[in-house]
Amino acid sequence: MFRCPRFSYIALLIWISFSSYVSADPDDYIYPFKQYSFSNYGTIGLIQNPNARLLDEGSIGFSWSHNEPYLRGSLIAYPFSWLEVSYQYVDINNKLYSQIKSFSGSQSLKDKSFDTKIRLIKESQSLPQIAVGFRDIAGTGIFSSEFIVASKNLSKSLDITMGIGWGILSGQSIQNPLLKISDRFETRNSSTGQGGKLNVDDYFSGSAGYFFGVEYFIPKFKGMRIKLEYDGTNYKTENNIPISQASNFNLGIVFPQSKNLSYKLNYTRGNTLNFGFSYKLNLGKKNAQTVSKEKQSRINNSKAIKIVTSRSEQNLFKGALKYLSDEKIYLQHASIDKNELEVIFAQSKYRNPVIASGRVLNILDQIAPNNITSFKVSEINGGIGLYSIASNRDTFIRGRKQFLPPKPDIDISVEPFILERDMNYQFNPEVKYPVFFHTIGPDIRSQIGGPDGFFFGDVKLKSLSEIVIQRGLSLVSSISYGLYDNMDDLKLASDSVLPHVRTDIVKYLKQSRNFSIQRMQLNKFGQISPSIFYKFSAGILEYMFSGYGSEVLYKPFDKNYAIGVEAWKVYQRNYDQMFGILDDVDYKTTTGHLSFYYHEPKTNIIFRMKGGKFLAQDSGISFEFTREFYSGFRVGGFFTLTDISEEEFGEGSFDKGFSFYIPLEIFSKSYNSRNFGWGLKPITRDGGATLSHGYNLWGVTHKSHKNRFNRHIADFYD
Amino acid sequence: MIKRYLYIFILCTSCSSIDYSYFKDLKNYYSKNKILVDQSFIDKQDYSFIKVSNKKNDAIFILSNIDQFGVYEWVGSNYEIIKTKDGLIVETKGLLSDIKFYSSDISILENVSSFDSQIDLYNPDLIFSNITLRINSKTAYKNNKGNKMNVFQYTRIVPEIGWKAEESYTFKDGVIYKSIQQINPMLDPLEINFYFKY
Repeated sequence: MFRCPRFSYIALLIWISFSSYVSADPDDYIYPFKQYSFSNYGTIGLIQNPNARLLDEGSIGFSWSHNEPYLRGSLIAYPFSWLEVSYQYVDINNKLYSQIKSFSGSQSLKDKSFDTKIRLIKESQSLPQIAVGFRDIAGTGIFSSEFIVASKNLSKSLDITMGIGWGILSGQSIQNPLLKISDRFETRNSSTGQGGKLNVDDYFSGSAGYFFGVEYFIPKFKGMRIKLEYDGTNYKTENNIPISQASNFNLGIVFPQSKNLSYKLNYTRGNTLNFGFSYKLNLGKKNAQTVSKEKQSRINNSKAIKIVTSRSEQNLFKGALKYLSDEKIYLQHASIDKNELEVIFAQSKYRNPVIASGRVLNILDQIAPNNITSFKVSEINGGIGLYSIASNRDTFIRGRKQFLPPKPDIDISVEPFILERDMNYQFNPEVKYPVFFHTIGPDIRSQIGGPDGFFFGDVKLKSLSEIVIQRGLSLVSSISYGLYDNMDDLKLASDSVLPHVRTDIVKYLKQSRNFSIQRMQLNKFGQISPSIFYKFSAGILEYMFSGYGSEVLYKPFDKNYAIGVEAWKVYQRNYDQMFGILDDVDYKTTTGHLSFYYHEPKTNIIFRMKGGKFLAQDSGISFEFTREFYSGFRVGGFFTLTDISEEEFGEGSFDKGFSFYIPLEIFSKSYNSRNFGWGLKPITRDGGATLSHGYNLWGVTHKSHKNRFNRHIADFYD
Repeated sequence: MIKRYLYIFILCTSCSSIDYSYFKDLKNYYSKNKILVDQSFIDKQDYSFIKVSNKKNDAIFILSNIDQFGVYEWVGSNYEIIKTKDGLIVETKGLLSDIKFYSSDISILENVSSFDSQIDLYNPDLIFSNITLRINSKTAYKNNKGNKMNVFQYTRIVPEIGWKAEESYTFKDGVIYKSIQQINPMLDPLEINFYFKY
């Protein structure tokens, strides 16, 4: 029988494409919630041993475990698919916080540490996933270890792990294989010093040890899995107090309650029952925690409205004012030039300028008469022009019908915008100044991990207000009143040899428990050109400093870099956080920085290098790295190196920390531009401290960046 | 549940306090969106409808069609579709996860000990998998208004993925009155209350 070869290739292609459809993989049901689980060290791993697995990028998680004598709480984040970072607090209940009873009473030792794991090789058909990891890299080092680990899925149920560890992970001792490379790997200095430093010379040195284990996913059992491992932990040296170990094998079971929540029960060291739970969320993707966002509703009687708006331009302007206002978008100016309707608007509902401008165009299209053939919409914020979008009306309608996002610079033009004062717009709705905005709600302050106790905090009623005196000039205030606190026993005094610009935190917390003012800052924003923004501020700038100063930012709209300069004259505030200045200390200084920003468009890493004079009059450079995900979720870290010695800085050696920024709309079906920002420094010290003035220009102008439109243009018709 | 508490925590500690309008979000996140179906609600409806409930939400679906096999098609406010046969959900469209039964001649009321079909599940996808609905118990009683009530307890078994779930179908005077069933092993059961207008 003759068969046409070409036909058989086509048939094969069709067969492949159909076969891939009909053989849908039931594994999602057989192994539900099949993401890897947390170890007792708060990172993804087996029971005590690490593995080479990571969660998806954009994930964050919390893990809690109780494994005598340790109670460990960890925060974990995945800025990239290849990088895991975590921060832990460990309560060590067989050791006192200090031997000085007057300092820390009978409180058990609290240790904090950073861990990280980097994927070196991604798993493939033939290769295992390989990762290198570091435990307790910038803490006191009592859990310090490094490891290289490989994990491989042998079947859908079975994931095996084996690795080699150094430091605390050298329990099953072998000769350090790196000694064949260099003698420098022979000894490991166990001195922990002030903590906070990267002891690079110690990495992968001293004794090495092996470890291995398996994670078995029980099929059709609601995602439950069993873990068995040969423990690599050296319990003789961990925490410098030997812990009894009856067996090298640990056995555990993990029960996923849902995609995000898991419980675990382990039997470790042959003599200890250990339990814990973990919770994780992926916040990086669009609509990460909701199915979808609210759709923009169509305007009723659009045809009738168009008849009315076609009668006069004023009707059209008033219609735009009304229908945009219904969407919480506020028309500031409008004009018609030939057949183009231009609208200047302000809004704070949409974090994403692509959605905001898309919705403005959609409303204008529904109410504008047919003789309007193009639209130009521009957003301003506090008198600062952010961007301008121009679109042909037919192109917009066609794209919306076909749900085809426009191509920037082809279907729509995206330009920088400056609000010219002498520009004569036809429609200028009157704003009656001053305009008053006010919100009120709870606020929580905390002080964690000190010698007086693990957690001190208060709940306050916080009022935020903004009085807009005229466009670009406003007074923002943050005032709070304490409702409940447990800070009576908080008494840690500063031991800093530097000016106490931050380490008097306890005095500020305790003396501002009742009524206090966190900020009362007069701001004047303006714009010299589409790329140059400025701000003058004066008043109570933050919870510890009052003063005045200015910031200028050069941020070209279509470039990925920006340069900022700021200078401030500041006076240290009274501990009660009212209007007074600290008389007995009388600390005042001038602080200022030159900043260079770079937004890397592929990875969306925002890098900031900030050099200058800090609050405690030390000089140096601060480096910040922040990854911004599609949803707006940001995770980042920073470190600051200044001209003070480690001894002058004190515990921690230099200033460092990390931060999360979570847009609240991730959890909501409606859009809003509010956010939850949370930063953590392992220890509060005075060196490298910067003024935390409100409304920095980089944040105020974040929408003024062409890359934002290129990245989010698919949201144009959302 | 944890996500809800996390949301509350985040709202309480967000760097710039709470706007009143976000209490609505908080309320939606924390509380169940309940729909009370009382006699006045029933009277206001022009068509037969069902109330579909899970742990978090209630939703109303209106009857849009009855086909030759006795399959009822119900339409939700966002054009989601649920098709039922004697209270058994035989097909959905537009839900978080959808299901489709291939046999249309199944009947809860036919009093057979079990019946088989093939199903598709969507999100995650599972194509043409065998399903068995096996009867566990039948209970008949009269309610305080004298209606004849029949309750059928079934077990749903999909061996390929180890899905085994209990479900129940309550008939009042031979007409489906209420059913409780899972349409996806990863989702909470759906409770459907049927309200027929004649």
